Amino acid sequence: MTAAAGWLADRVSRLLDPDERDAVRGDFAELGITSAQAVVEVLGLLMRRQAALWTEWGPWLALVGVVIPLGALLGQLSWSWADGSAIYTFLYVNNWTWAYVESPGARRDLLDVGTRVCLNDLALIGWSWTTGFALGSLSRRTLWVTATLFCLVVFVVFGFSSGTTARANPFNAAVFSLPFYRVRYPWLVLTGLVLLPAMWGMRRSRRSASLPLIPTLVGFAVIALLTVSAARTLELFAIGHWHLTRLDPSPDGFAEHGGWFRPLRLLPLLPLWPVAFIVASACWRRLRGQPASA
Amino acid sequence: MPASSGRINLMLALALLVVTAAVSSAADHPTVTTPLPSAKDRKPAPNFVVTDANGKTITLSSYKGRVVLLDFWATWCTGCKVEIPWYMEFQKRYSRRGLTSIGAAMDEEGWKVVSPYLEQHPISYPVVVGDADFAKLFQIDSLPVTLLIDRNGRIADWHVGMVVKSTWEDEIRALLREKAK
Repeated sequence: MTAAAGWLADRVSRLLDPDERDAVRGDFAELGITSAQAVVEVLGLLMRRQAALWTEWGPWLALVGVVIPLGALLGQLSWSWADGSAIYTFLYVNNWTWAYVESPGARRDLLDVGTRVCLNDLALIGWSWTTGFALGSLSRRTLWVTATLFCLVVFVVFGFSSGTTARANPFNAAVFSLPFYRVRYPWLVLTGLVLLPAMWGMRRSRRSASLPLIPTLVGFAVIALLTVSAARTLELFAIGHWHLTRLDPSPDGFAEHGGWFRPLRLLPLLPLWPVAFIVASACWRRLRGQPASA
Repeated sequence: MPASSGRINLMLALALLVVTAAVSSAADHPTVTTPLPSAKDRKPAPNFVVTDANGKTITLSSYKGRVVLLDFWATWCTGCKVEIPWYMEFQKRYSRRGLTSIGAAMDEEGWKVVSPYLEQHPISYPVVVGDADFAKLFQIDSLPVTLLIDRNGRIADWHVGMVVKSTWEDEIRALLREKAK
């Protein structure tokens, strides 16, 4: 019990800054307090330190401007995006035929679908990276709290999205009868296209809260172009593709519900705002003559 | 806090582990399969007379003695279009053994949109354009729909939505093994 408490006290104290950590450990040794007491003391100190940090605007802006809206968007997108691309992966990979490359029309379609899926994936990676970077820049000292909350929002929305995606369409039953596409594929997309890039962005922001201007502008242009190319898919997937498009009773097929979802046309602006923030930070630094690490 | 960087590294490593584990898992076999009904349980397919892209009259009854794959599709239906190369492959592979694929395009605009599509996407089997009556005949209210008609003109399988190529091919082989009465 004492050994476990000692280990816990040590782990918890690592959340403090190095200087403060050493001082606190020294105090505990001098006072001769137990490991359990040490855990309580360190937790109390951590909470007070965190509370002090949250008196600034940065963490709040990170929470309201990044964690909630972008966590929700990326959580929803990763599942619906996964289900959308699962259908094409199933069609082209699990059911491959050389006729896809032998027939000129089918070859063009394959290229078109492949390009579209790749561009959408790149857009998702770009949005996630910039979201992570903006989160890290806005809340450098509270990152472990905002990052945890971000992951929590992503996971919660991700969990609630499964019934609203392409898998809800019984026509796609063959695809989602496979455990790989039903279970593993969405997690792959979430991890590979959202969580990893977001953490990579957060990690990058630890080195410098701002990026060099020219690469940032190039990155902004690339992500803006990717967003434009993915805008339509983003609109459809963001609130559940299956609910937006329904089967018409006639064989003319899918008819869109018009009108009520028009405000969603502004949705592509949401994942672009962290990019705009990063550009603004880089410009601001350049104007003030401060160097940014590459 | 400085410890954040270490934690992020740890989370990155864990996430990488999850991805690796997921990627390494092989794709499974689909479970949406139903066995073909026995010959006596199959219903006769309604006969139709339509014209293909070359102006040739296509009558279902004229294919008696052959297995017919009848695919209902449309130029706007992405899933349907991805399946067409499968049927071209089946046609190429099993034509000599008695398979005939027929594509029924259900575009409301008819040949006006189907012809340009066929110019860009040549299909190696007959394609006809279906109208509302044709859709009613086969009770088509959504796409894609694919039918397998046995050598005796009876519907052996009727699938709404995406089919699994390998399952479909197994069924075609099974039907080709059957004898016409």
